[in-house]
Amino acid sequence: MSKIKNINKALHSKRNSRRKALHSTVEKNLVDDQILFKFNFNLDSENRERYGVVAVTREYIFRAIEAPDGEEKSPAVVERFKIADHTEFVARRNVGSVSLEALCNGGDAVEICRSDMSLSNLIIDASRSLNSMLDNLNDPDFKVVFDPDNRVCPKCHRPLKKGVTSCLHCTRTGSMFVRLFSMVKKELPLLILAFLFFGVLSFVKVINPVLQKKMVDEYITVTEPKDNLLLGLVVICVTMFVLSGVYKVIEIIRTNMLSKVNNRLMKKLRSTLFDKIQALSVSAISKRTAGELIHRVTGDTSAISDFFVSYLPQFVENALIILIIGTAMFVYDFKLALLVLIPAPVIMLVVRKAWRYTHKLYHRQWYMESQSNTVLHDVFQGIRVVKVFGMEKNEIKRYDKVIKKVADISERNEITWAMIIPYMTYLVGVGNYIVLAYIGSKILGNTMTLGDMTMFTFFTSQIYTSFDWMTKLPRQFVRMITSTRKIFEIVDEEIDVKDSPDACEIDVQGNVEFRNVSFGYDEAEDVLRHISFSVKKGEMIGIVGRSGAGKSTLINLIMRLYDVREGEILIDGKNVKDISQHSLRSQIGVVLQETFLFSGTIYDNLSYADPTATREEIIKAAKMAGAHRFIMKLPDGYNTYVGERGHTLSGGERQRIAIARAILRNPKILILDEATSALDTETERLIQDSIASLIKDRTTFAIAHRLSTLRNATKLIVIDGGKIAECGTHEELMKKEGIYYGLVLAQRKMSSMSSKE
Amino acid sequence: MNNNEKSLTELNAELKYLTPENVQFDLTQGGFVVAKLQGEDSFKRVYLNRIFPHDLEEEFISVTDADSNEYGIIRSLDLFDERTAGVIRHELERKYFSAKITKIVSLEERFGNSVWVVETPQGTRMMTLKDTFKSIIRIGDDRAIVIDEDANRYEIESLSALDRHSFRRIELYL
Repeated sequence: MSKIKNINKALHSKRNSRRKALHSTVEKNLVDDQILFKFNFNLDSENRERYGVVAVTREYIFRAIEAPDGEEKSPAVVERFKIADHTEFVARRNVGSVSLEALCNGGDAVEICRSDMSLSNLIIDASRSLNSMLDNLNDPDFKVVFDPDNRVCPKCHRPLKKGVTSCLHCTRTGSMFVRLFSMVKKELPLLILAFLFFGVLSFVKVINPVLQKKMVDEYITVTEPKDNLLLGLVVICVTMFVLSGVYKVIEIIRTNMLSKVNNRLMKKLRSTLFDKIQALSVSAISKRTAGELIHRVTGDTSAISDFFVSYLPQFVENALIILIIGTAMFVYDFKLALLVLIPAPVIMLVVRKAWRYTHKLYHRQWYMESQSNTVLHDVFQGIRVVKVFGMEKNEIKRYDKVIKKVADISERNEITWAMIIPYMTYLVGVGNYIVLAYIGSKILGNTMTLGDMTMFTFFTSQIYTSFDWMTKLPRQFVRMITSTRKIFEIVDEEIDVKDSPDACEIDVQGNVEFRNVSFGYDEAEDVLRHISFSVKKGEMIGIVGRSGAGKSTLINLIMRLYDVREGEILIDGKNVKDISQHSLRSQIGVVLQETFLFSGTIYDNLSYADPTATREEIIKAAKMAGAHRFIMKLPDGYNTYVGERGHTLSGGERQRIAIARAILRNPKILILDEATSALDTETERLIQDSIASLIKDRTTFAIAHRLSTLRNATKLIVIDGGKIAECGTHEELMKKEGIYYGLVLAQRKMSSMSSKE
Repeated sequence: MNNNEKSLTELNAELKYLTPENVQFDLTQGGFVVAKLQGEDSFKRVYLNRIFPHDLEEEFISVTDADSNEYGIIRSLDLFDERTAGVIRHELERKYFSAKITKIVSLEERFGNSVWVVETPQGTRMMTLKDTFKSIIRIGDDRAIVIDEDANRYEIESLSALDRHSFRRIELYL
C-alpha cells in the first residue's frame, strides 16, 4: 500500500500547488469584490485536464483556468461573467463529466466550468446557489448558501463519500481489529479460556513424543536386562493412554465452548447489522442490492465468527507448538534446532507465494462459476420468456459458452495445482530429510539414540505442519478484515433520514402542507421543484401527471421515506422532521401499485398492518376490501400460505389484501398509489364502495391512471416537469382546458376506441 | 416478403431519421450544437446522445431537446458533410468522457475494494473500484470500460495491447 500512498501524496501535492496558484490569480483579479463562495474544477470544455477555480461574488462569476498547455508556470486565463445577464444555471450531467452552464434568454449559453465526476457535487451545489442568487437579485440582504458535502480525509485528502465516516485508504487494520475485539468483549473470557485449552493441547502434543523417546530408549532398544522393564513400559503406555484421553476430553470441552462463542458472536454481529440496516433510509438501502445486504448479514458475519472461533484459536495452538517445540529442540540439541528452523522461513515464504498464486487462480475460477450460475438463474427465472420467444437453442449456446470457459479455467487450474502442490508438500517435508540425515550420522557416531530420532522426526514434522498452517493465516485474516470493514461501513454509515433529538409523537389530524419543496433522488436533478400546496383534514387530493412526473415521489416525501432537499412538509403545522418516524408512519395507510406479501398465511399478512387486531376485525376488513370471497374459495381459507413458496395470488387479489391492510390500520392519512390499477373494471367497481368508505373522513392522496376514479377528489394537483402545473377541482380543470383536460380527452378517446373493438 | 421482414419495415417507418436534407447543424459561439429542422426558420439548441455508446460511436445518434424529447436520429455521421460531421463529433466527444488507460501501474485489493494507479494520456490517475468485477465492462473480446466509485469512466481500448505487467494485473478480473 505504501507505493499507492506515495503516488497519492505526490498527486495531491501537485494538485494543491496548481490550485494554490489559480486561487491567488483569481483573488488578484477581484480587486474590491468579496468572494461569497468558490470551488475547483479540473477539465476544460474539451475534456482536457486543466485545473481551474470559480469564485462567485455578489455580481460576478470569476473563472480562472490554467493555460491550455497545462504547465504549472503558464499564466492562468481569467474571465468573468455577470450573474444578472443569465436566466438559469444548469449542472449538465454528461457521461463521465459534469458541466456548469449559464443560460440566457434568447442569447447563447456559456459553459462556465467542467469537471470529472469526482468534483460533480461542487458543480451541482454551485448551480443551486447561483440560481438562488438569481431569484434574489433584488434582495441586498440575501445570504447565499454553498455547502457541498466536500469532506475530505484529513490524512490522505481524498474526498469522503456521502454517508461514509471513515476513509477506506486510511483505515488501519489494527484499529479495526481492536474495535472488533471490543464488540466481542462479552465473549472474551470464554474465548481466553478456550485459548488456554489450546495451550494445554499443544503441551500434550509435545509431551507424547518425549514419552515415545523414553519408551524406545529405555525399554525397547535396551540391551541389558533391567528390573521392572515390563512395569515401566506399562506405566508409559498408560500415561500415553491417559494423556490421549485428557486430550480428547479437553478437545470436546473446547469445541463446545467455541460453538457457544460462535453462536453468541454470530447473533450479536447479525443483530447489530440488521438493526442498523433497518434504521437506514430507503435511499441508503437502495444503494445496495438485496443480495449484497444478505451477504453482509450472513457471509461477512460468518467470516468474522469463523476467524474468532476457528482460525484465531488454531493460530494460538500452532504458535505455541512452534514455541514449545522450538525451545525443546534448542534445549536438546541447538545444532539440530538451527538445521530445522533456519530453512523454515525460506521454505514457508516459497510456500506462501505458491499459495497466493493458487489463490488467484481459485478466485478466477470461482468468479467464472458464479457467472455460469448467473446464466442459469437468468434462464430459469425467465423460462417463460425463453419459451415464448423460442430461444432455447440460443440459451443452450450461451450456457455452453460459459461452461466451456469454466471448464477451460478449471482444467488450467487443475494442471497448475497438480504441478505446484507436490512441490509444496515436498518442500514442507524437506526438513524431515535433513533431520534424518543429521540424526542418522549422530546415531552412527553413538551420540544419539533411536528414541531421539523418533522424537525429533515427530518434532520436525509437527513444527513444519504448524509453519505450513501459518502461511494460510494471512489469507483468512484478509478475508476476516475485509468482512469487518464491509460490516463497519454499514454500521458507521450516517443515517440520513433520522429522528431529531426532540422528535415528538403526535396524534395526526390530517392537515398536510408542502412549502416550497424541492427534491431529487439524484443530486444533479430535482424530480420535484418548488412544490407548495396545502390540504385540510379529510380532503381527498388526486395527483395527476404523466409517468415519471414525480407523483410517487411526492407521496414518498409525505411518508418521509426521503428528506426534502429544500423547503418543508408540515403535518398539522409541524415539520415532518420533528415528528418521530414511527409515530408518523403508524398513522399513514398505504396501498401501493405493487403489493408485497411476506411468506406466511393470508391471516399473517393481514395482521401485519395491526398485530393487535382480532380475528373478527380481520375478517371484517377483508370483507370491506372485497377480499373475503376469494379467500374463502381457497381450501385453506385465511390459513392459506402465500409468499415466495406459497399460493400465488393474482394482482387483483394482492391489491385487495393491501386495501384490507389499510382498513385495519385505520390511518389518519391514506395514500392510494395506483391502488386499483391491477383490478379489472368489474372488480374495481365492486371495491370502489369499500374504497369510498375507507377514504371517508381521512386525508387521502390518490394517484390513479384512470382519471375517472379521481373525479370525486376535493382537489386535483397536476404535476408536470416536477412542478405543479395545475390545481383545482375536476370541473375547474376541465374548464381551463390545460394538461388535465388533455389527459382526460386522451383517455376518453382510448376507452371509446377499445369499446368499439 | 415474409412476415418478419414486413414487421421490421413497419418498425423502420416509425424512426425519424435526420439527414442533410431535413436538418442543418451549427455551432454557437459558446460552443453548443444548434439545429434547424425542416420547416422551422431558426436554429435551436439540441442535445446529442449515442444510442449504442459502446459499439457505434458515429451511428445512431439521438437528437433531443433539453427535456429528452427526440427530434430524430442520425443514422450515420457519414451522411453529413465533413464540417457538420465535425460539429457533431466534437459535441459527442464533449458529452462522452473517458480517460484512456495506457498502463496499469498498480492494482491492490483493500478491504474488498480495489485501488488502481493507471497511466492515461492526461497523466497518472488513481481510482477506487467498489466491486472490481462489476466495475469492468467488457466490450467484445479486447475492449473494456472501467467505472470507478465516483462514476468516472476509463477505457482500455485494447487489452491485448497492454504491456505484460499491466495485463497480468487486470487479467484476474476479466
